[in-house]
Amino acid sequence: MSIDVSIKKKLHDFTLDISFSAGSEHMGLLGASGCGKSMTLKCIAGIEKPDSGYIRINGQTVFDSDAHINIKPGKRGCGFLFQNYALFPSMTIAQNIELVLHRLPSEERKKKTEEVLEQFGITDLADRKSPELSGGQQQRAALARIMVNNPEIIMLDEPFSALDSFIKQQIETNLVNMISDFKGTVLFVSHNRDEIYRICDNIAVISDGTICRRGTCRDVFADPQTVDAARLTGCKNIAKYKRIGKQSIFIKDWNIDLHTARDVPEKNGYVGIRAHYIREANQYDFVNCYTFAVKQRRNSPFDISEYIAISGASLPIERKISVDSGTNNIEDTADGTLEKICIPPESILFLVE
Amino acid sequence: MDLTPLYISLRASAYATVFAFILGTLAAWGVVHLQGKMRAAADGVFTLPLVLPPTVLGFFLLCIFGTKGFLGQVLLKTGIRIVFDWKGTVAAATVVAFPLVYRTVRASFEQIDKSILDAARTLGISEWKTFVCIMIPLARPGIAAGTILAFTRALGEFGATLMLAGDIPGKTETIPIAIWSAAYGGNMERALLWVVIIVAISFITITAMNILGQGTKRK
Repeated sequence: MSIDVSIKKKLHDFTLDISFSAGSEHMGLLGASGCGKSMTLKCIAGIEKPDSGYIRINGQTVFDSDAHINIKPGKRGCGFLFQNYALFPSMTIAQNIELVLHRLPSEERKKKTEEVLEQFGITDLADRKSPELSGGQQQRAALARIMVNNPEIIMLDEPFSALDSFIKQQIETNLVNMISDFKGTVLFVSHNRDEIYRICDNIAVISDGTICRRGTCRDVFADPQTVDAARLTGCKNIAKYKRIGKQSIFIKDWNIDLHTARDVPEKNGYVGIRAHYIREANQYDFVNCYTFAVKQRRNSPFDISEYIAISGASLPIERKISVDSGTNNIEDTADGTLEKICIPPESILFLVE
Repeated sequence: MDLTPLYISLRASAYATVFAFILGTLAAWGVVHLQGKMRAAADGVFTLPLVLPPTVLGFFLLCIFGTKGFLGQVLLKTGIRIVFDWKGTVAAATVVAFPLVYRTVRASFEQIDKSILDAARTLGISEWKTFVCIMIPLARPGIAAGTILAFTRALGEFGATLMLAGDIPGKTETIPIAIWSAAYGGNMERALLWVVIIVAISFITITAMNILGQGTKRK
């Protein structure tokens, strides 16, 4: 069970240029909206045609520009779950599934439809039309409609973005359970890094039509390596550095010298520091401790974003504080207060553009 | 009073509506699959009957269905005569009614969420099944509106009908032609009567369409 993709396609603002392969795994494509991740899925499914390249699904070439192969979407074995689920609204759920099976004799068709409805626990929705159903029910029905076709790979295009946040968690769990028996490749497209981290084994971060970082979720989040990957995996603080020693750098934007745990690359580049890792200094901290002025605070229900800077800095550093970690009193302090902050050397990521 | 013009008009409009419905819906289906210049050109051809003078359409129809026209000769061999026959009233009315079905149905097809059609393709549902089972039901309000407009337009067809079918009382004399020949012959009372009848039919049809349209919206 595998997929090999290497495609190019000229789009409005940039050229999509994506190459990756995946085996029997859940692979996430993370990117901002309009980066080309949905277009990649559509090219694999055959809804859109790449300008050049090839696509192989389980060893079978479904697209090859050199060999002039372009197999029809319906024959590629791709189960595509659309963002809005794309159920046929004028039909009942049972009719939706029966239409997919329209080549089978009527008795077999009915039987298979009943089976899949039961398997997905939506027998009671069989005679309802999709506009009457909730987002979660629609998703279930759409997935049943895909699975009845025995797909070789499943592609999920932002499956949770149309849902209210309070039911999202439940539906995410359900979806993961429903596809857990599936043996083939699952491609999961999202702009939400948390969803990808929870659902996927491996991740490809896409920016402006190209993959800027690939690897296991753990590796990519721990060491994004590129500026784009860092930003997309949620790194808030990214700035240019100047190398001043084997393990020390100067950052002009923040007007700050920092010691690093890793050796500084010879070439000047960028550093990234995740907002969660910047903490209040304690008595055991000897390096990277500075007194910052708090420029601004933004309170969310469960964490606080604090924008801090030392004098001479042109950009503030963002740090995140969890409200339940004994810092509740911080909410009431006025802006401009001074805080002793430590930036742990091991939290400093080196990035290239 | 001789009611044959009413009968001839209703028969021509009924046939023309059926033909325009089928051809217009198929044409709309074809055009939404095209892209770029091909689409623009096809759309232009299908919309032309809406903007051309009916006499120009009548001229083209004569060229095609006339005794020297290609289709006319083929049809004559099978014993079907279009020119100066009631079938001519159908042909003329179909051509002028066609763009109304085509344009409203095409607009309805274009309104359909693209991902629904993409989903049908990835699920291996054939283009024809998609057209019949998914697109037509979703475009139903547009198809209904287009068909009713086509009927009323067919009912009012004059120029092309006169050129193709002529003015043969009891055979090709539709209501608009009856109005014209009555007024031309100075029989204003007869002309007025037909005017009242055709206004009434058209008004009732359009009003009925609006009422039905409101009904579906409330759902």
